Amino acid sequence: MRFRASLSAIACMTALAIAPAQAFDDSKYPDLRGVWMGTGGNKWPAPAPLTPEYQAIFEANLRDQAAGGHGDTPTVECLPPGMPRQMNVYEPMQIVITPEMVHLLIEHVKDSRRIYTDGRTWPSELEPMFQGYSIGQWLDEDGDGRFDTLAVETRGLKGPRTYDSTGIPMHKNNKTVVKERIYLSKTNPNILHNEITTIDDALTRPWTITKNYRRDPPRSQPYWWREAVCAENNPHVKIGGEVYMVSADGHLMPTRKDQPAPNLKYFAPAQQRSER
Amino acid sequence: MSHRRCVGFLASIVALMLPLAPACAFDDAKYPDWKGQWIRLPPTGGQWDPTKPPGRAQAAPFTPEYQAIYEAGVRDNTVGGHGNNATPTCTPPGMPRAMIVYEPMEIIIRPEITYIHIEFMSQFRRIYTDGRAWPATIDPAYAGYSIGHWEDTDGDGRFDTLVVETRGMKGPRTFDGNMPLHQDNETIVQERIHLDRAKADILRDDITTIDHALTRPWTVTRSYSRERNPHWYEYPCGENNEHVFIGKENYLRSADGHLMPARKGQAPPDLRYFNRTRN
Repeated sequence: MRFRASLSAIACMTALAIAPAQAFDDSKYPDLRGVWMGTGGNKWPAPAPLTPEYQAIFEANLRDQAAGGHGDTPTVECLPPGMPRQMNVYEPMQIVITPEMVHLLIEHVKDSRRIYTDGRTWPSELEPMFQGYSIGQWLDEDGDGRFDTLAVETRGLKGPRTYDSTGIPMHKNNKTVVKERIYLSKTNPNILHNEITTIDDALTRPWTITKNYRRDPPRSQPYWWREAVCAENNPHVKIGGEVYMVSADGHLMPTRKDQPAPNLKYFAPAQQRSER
Repeated sequence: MSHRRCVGFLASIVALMLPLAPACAFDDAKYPDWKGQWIRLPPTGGQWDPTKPPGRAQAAPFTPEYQAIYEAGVRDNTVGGHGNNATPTCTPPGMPRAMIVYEPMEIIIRPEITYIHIEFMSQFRRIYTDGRAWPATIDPAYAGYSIGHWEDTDGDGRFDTLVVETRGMKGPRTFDGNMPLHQDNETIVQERIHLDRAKADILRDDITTIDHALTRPWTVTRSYSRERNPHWYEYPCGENNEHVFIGKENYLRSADGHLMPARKGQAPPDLRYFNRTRN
């Protein structure tokens, strides 16, 4: 009787172990749950290894910013920062791991990413996106039987993109390839590292930097993720290639000294005269 | 002895298998299979109740005050305005309109949260299923805040229906391109999301909206069809958005980038802050 009970218990445990074919064993993956905040600022470290042509573009952007302009940073129009800039993690990031995909959820403009880990290969054609397409692979680097590093490659990008708000440009051909290695710190499980290597024709060599993210400590109350809406109260408008501001009283205003007013050629001349 | 061998053998198997079934493994067999890409049905048309034609035929149960706001929006539409619709500024539609699912939707089920990611304006809903209660105060959001729980309505031992309540919303919001929700933003949206019993690739969302612009709760069912091998693309609203809002006026951006009127006889923007000698 006791033997039958033992067998039954073992069978039950076996069934539990095998049971649902689709059960997702998340203990094979690193624990990346929680709220991840960017650390170390949102700038890419200087100097960028830019080609002379793109160094000149960068310096023009700096001059424009010094004069009150935006220096070719497309995010003022609520365009997504795209890769690799979105890994500045401007708003808190959540990481959701499933066997076939890793989701990096970042509210900001349109910064969430899908990283395919289902073993797919690159398609012959990619429809360009600011975030590009990312294929990843989980690695067990320390051989403990558990994945610890997510290696990612991103291609198929769209522009315009810059590395950060200073306007460090990326090549207009958008042939950027971004390689990442994402892993927890070996000494502090609440620090996540992302080694980002950017290969871009605006650079003289691949450019590797490391972004770090800090996990918010667990709270006694449940965390409520908040919404970020770039378009809400965005004072910037782009008209005729110029970025203007909308003032608090709802009127168009220049962003830099002596900026020309927008061309109103599509309005009836009588209306234009009466406006002035 | 043979029994002991047998037990020992089975125990060895179990020992080998146990590492594969750790305590924290997420048993997704308990949950419905909602993987893939969900596309609205019908795939075109943006009216709230998909069983009725758009416009007045929707027969929204508005209060007289909000029926008048709706009618004013219709009149504004006829002269080139946007009526009550706030999305031309790239502000998200919010709840419940988000569930029209203008661009494809992905649903990710985890024990503590179900994520609904809709590409249109990158709307993101988190439906908390961790048993939390409503907080005393909520920072308003277009998508609101959603608490849900899973139900096994057919008793087969597997969850099949996600029951959701959403509160804490921000405005302006409309049901569709014109039908307004109340400006007090005290909307409550209740949903029952489930697969069609006969078609595993059809998802239904029974959505009941309780709002002070309505004389009674308004229930519609939205449906979505599944693409199992999806191609995902992004929808950055700010890219190529031809609508330009300056103060309370809406203009258009022409193909050559210049400002143009959105309606006949519209005055150009006031350029008082520009150096007039240059203009």
